[in-house]
Amino acid sequence: MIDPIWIWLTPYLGASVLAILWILGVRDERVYDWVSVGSILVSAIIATVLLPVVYSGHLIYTKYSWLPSLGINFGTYMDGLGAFMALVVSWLSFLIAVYSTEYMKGDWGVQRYFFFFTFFVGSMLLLVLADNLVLMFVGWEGTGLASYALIGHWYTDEEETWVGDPGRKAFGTPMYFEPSHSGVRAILFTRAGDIGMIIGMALFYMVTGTFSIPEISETASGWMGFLASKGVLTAALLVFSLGALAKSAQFPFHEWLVTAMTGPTPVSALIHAATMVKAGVYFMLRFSPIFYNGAVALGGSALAATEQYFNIIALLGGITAFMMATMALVSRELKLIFAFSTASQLGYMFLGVGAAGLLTQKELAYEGIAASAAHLMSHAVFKAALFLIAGWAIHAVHSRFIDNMGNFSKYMKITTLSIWLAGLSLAGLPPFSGFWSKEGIIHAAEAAHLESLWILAVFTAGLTGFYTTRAIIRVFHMPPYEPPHHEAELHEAPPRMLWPYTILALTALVIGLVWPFGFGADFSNLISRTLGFKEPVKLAVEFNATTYGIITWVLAMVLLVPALYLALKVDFVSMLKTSKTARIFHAFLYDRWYINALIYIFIVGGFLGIIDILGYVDGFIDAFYHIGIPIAFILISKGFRSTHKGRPDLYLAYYAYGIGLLLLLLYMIWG
Amino acid sequence: MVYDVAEEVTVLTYIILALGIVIPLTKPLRLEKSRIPYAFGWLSTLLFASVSYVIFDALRSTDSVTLFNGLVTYNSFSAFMLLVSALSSSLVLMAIKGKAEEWPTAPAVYGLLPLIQFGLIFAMGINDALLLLAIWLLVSVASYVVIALPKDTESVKGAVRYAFMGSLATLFLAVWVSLNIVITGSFTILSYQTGLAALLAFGAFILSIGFKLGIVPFHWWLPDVYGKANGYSVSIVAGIVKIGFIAITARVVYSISSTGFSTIVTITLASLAVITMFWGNLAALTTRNLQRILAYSSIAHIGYILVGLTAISYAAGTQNIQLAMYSFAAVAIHVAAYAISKAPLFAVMGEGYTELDDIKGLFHRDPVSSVSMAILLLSLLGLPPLLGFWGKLYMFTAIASYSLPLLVIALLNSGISAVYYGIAIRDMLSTEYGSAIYDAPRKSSLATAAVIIVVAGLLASTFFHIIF
Repeated sequence: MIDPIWIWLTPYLGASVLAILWILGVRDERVYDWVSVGSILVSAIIATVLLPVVYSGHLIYTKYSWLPSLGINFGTYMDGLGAFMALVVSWLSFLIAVYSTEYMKGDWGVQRYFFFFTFFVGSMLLLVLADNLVLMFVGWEGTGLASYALIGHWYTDEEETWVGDPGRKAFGTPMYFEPSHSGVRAILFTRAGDIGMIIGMALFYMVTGTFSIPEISETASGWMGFLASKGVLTAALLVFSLGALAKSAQFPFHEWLVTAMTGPTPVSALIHAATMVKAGVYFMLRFSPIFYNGAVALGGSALAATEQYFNIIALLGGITAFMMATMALVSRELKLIFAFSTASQLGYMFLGVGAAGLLTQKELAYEGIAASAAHLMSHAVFKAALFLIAGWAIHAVHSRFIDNMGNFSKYMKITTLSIWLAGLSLAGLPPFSGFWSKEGIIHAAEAAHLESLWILAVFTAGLTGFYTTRAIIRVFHMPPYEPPHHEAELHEAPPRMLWPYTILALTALVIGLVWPFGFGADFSNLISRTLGFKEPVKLAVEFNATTYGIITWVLAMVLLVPALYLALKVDFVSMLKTSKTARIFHAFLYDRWYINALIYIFIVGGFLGIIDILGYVDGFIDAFYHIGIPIAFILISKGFRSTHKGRPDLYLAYYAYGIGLLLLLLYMIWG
Repeated sequence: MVYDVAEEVTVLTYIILALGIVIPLTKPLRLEKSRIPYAFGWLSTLLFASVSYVIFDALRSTDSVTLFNGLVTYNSFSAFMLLVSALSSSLVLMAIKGKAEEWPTAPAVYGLLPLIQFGLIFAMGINDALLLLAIWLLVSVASYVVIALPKDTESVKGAVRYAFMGSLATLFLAVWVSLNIVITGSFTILSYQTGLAALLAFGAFILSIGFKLGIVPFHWWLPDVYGKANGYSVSIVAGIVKIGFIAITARVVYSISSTGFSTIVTITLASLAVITMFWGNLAALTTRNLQRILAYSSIAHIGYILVGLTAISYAAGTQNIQLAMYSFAAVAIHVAAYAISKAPLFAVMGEGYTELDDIKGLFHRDPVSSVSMAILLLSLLGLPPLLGFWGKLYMFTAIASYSLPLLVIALLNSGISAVYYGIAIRDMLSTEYGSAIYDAPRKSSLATAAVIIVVAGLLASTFFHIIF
């Protein structure tokens, strides 16, 4: 059997080859295409070959010594969750890499692009397959680095690469973002969470003596009991999960993901929709069964503390899902709509995990976690398709605004079909894949008696249907509000771009179609092979009155869009011009609930204030070191030397003083 | 069976003394400008080295060698110091070639060198207070004269100040000798008592040796002599004579501290070490005169050596023989590094290029000399793996068991010294051009010393364990 280490090592090797080629002066982009796509394909094939082994109930676990003193290995841990994530990540990466070879053709930084793209894939696969926290963190930060580099790929900051309306401000804070600014935002927002993650890792090492995830799992009741007895269990788990919340753009860390859309669209599809932002969800899927089992075994205060933790996770997920969906309703940028939607769907996944953690029945709890995993998969597929289509749409009209897009359905039939397949899956309508997974999450929230969050989730499902359909109708079935500034290339995308998103859109449909006929059970079986799952999972949607109610509500919201735009021809633009209330409401949503402005005013502004104060302190320190100390030394030095004037009479006097000094010294010691 | 070396050493020592008398005879024979006095200088140095080697060799099979009816006793420390002075004598001779013959006083310097070496043979192993006084006078007077020999104004002025202050120091040495006799009833310096008289005796010793070594605040003559007099003469005083007095100090300190006086001695030495290190290093910071920098750095180095002596005193007081031997060996290594670097560096100052501006861009004109000088300066700074690093390392690790603050202060001072050594090296690399240029004898002396510093640095732990 092939060693699973090659799954993550192969893309890393590919990236290394690209780096060496660059140093050797090779600039031919076809070489970069081939090395990148090839190394990712190899990785995907290995992940696929190993999948049946895991599915049949065998854990694949290999270790190579790295830091023996800390017990850290290059350990590749391929259980159900790891195998599933490796499969999703590697195949999506492959398809998007193929798309990129066309999309990035002739770009001035294409070599750098493929280096970081391949490096990202290696890091992401390392993240999901690492057997210990340190190695996982290496992958985690690797994805962060690649994300930063790719968001800022067009770091010369031309206006067409921005996000937001140029010149727009909220409370004086600019609401437009250049790629270089966005890259820094991404790294700072996620780093803030990662600090918590490092603290959590150190804490776990202190209480467990190991970084190994399986060992942390085995000893869960021990260290959780210890932390609970100190009254810090909830805080410890939350701090540890901060990195995940930030990585997956959950409130209040969600802002970075919105502006990350300055990166090339395939990057948005892969990193900021399909994979890296799922790292936080993966983290929750990996650790929540461990926390859950530990808490259940302990009961008492540990259980209460863990429930408190899961409550907070569910709450943050629910809020994020709703908040981001409302922002997507009014956005004018196609990629931004999908970005808001991504954060919103990630919110669902957090809600699912949080709700699952609150369920006392073990099988129901595992089911809730598995539902989040299912939503991770279905979202990765349909959202990647949507972004890749957005990439072509933006390319076609040379504008990121949907105002400049329109009537695409007349020119691109396959693309229109694809976006409807992927979009309806996002909307969560049966029989698409998104329906089954989202239904699972909503069901978990219901079972956990999180009534308000359940209502919020159902309401948000309707909003999702609305904003998705709005985007599709506006771009594909209505004339543009404003004609594009450049001549539009209205035809089907070239095959290397067309096929990846068509395949993905069809996959979203096919998964949905086969879900009730065994695929759901197979998926459940695979997830049951995950560390910490003590019961086999059976993920099945019960069709009852609530289910039908939700379907009806979502369908109504989906149909509302063509009714408003096409049948009733409601003019939202002039409505905004005439109604002040509408304008206030619109601005609130359009400026993202003013959260960005508040972060800049209070947090960034606060730090700037501290920087100013520290600047003064620093000025003093600087003057002390660069002026004070040198002057003092020069004066002392010259003072010492001035005693040597070559006069023996003075020397004699000094010598006499010296005698006095010595006698004094001796007297003091003697006394 | 202890190999008896008394006869050999005695014969060789008296031949050296005889050379001191024979060499001046070349003057009436009008041979003073010939190569003969220089050759005699080498002969004396070779004999001196032979004495050192014979004693060192004898110490392979025994812990100590006592000679001259018990007046001197050598151990591995004193034997190593003898070898080092023979080495630095050779470096001075290499550097001085063709120069001393031009002085109006020729061939006096070659006549004085054997007298100094004769004195050093006794100084290194001295047991007897009266003999110490005699040797002190012999070597001191020779030193004053050596400084005056080039007869230029600064040298003569320096010599006068040196002698003037020296007479005072000699007075205190006489006080020490007489108190020593009064207290112990004998002439031997290796027995000591506590009490006020003994305290005063120790004070008198510090006052005299403080002058000789340049311990602050008894160092006043030193910047004038080391910093302004002719470099060739300075190299003899700083690179050869000083070693003998350091050896004497180490012996006296050890014997006083072994007999109940150690707290006072240790604290006094530590205090003097601190002010001496700071004074030397800080004073060196702002001068642009390289010879003056070397002079102040000599003061700083006596400060470092005092740190080593403090460790010896502490070890003697606590009866920690292991630490004492370790500290002796540490001081020996440091003194070796100091003398081997300073002798040729001071000597080339005799060429008259004493300003930092003179050596600007030396690297581009004379890479051999400049790289050699840089190695010697870096060794004085204590950069690994050069010999100077090991001296400081061993001394500082020795002092760690006594006082961490003192260790920190010593390290801090090493840090300060990096500034002026660094400036000198930077100037040598400068693209501006000064006027300094060195001919073959100077160059070979510098290069030889640099090679020794590097090789000895690589073998430092071997040397250390021979002494230890």
